[in-house]
Amino acid sequence: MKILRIEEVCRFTRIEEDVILRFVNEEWIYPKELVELGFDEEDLARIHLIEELRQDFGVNDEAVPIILHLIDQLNCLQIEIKKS
Amino acid sequence: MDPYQALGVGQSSSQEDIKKNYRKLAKKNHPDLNPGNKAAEKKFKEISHAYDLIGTPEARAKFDRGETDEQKQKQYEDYFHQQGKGRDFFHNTQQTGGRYTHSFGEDELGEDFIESLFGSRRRSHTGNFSGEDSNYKIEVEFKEAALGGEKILTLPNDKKINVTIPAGIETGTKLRFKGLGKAGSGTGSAGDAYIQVLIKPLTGFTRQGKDIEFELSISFIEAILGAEMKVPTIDGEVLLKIPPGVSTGSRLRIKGKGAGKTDDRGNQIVVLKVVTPKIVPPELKTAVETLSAQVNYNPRE
Repeated sequence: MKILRIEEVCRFTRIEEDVILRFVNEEWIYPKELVELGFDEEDLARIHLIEELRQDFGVNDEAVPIILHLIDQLNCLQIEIKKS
Repeated sequence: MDPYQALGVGQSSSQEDIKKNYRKLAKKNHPDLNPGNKAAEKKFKEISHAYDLIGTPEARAKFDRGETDEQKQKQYEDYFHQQGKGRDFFHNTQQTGGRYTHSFGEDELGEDFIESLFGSRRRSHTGNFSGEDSNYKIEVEFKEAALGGEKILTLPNDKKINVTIPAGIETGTKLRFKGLGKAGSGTGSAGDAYIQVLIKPLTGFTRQGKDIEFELSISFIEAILGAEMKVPTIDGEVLLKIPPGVSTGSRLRIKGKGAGKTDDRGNQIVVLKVVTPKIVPPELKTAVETLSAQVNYNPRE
């Protein structure tokens, strides 16, 4: 799996570097490589999603972690259902 | 595709309304909020594309003039057909349990929670569930519970079960009838029927395991002199000999009149209760006064 540096993530997502760093600081994103800040495709898709929530859906920053939490829960349950 | 129609707005709608409708539809259909829902995903892509076309005044003016943006159209096609160029939705990266989902499952849900949701179904195969168990109650007479018997019970589905009451059954016992519960689905087996046996009370009698206790009131004269009297048992009356000198709480045993199978029955235990009349007749009082002047005893020694 390809690991992207933060500059590459900015280019792909068209999101400013400090915005992405904020996501990391808020722990909405925990990059694949935490120390050297390497992002994988999961991180990229999640950054996309967060930005979509904030910009397009008008979700405020307080609500972002709540929504992420519910989405994680939903995905987790869906995998469990498939298993059963 | 008509982007106005896709966003549910008219040609003359304001830019603000377009944005509002787009947000409303996008929230409802966002693939990450509807993971695995293909219809929602398709709808989302459609409205995203529509919004690209008329979401800004510039793009909208272009679209209204009939210009199509080749590049945008191409992007949309790619996006739509997932030919590698389109972005991945977050949930697509979590299909087989991505890092986020996985760590979530371990940290915050835990096995217990998952078990509690899916229970034993989790272990069986989809579609083949065992049927649920059914619960019923029947009341049996005190004697029938002690000596055993048979009862026919009609289930709601008109099926009749012959319920054998084992001799000496305790009240509240559940009898299991395998496969007589609700039907399973697929190749799943039917559930079981549980029939709870409740024993109707019988005045004066109490079950203590296989023994049956019976409280018998006697006069203090009978307690002192002893007596012979008829006492009810579940087999009918028997003659009981009360020895002289019994007290309240004294226990006398009638062998073989308890609960259980014919050759293995418990006993009836007669518990005595010495009863003094509440209103003492004057003659009795006089007689006892005379008596106590002659002879007395101290029960506290």
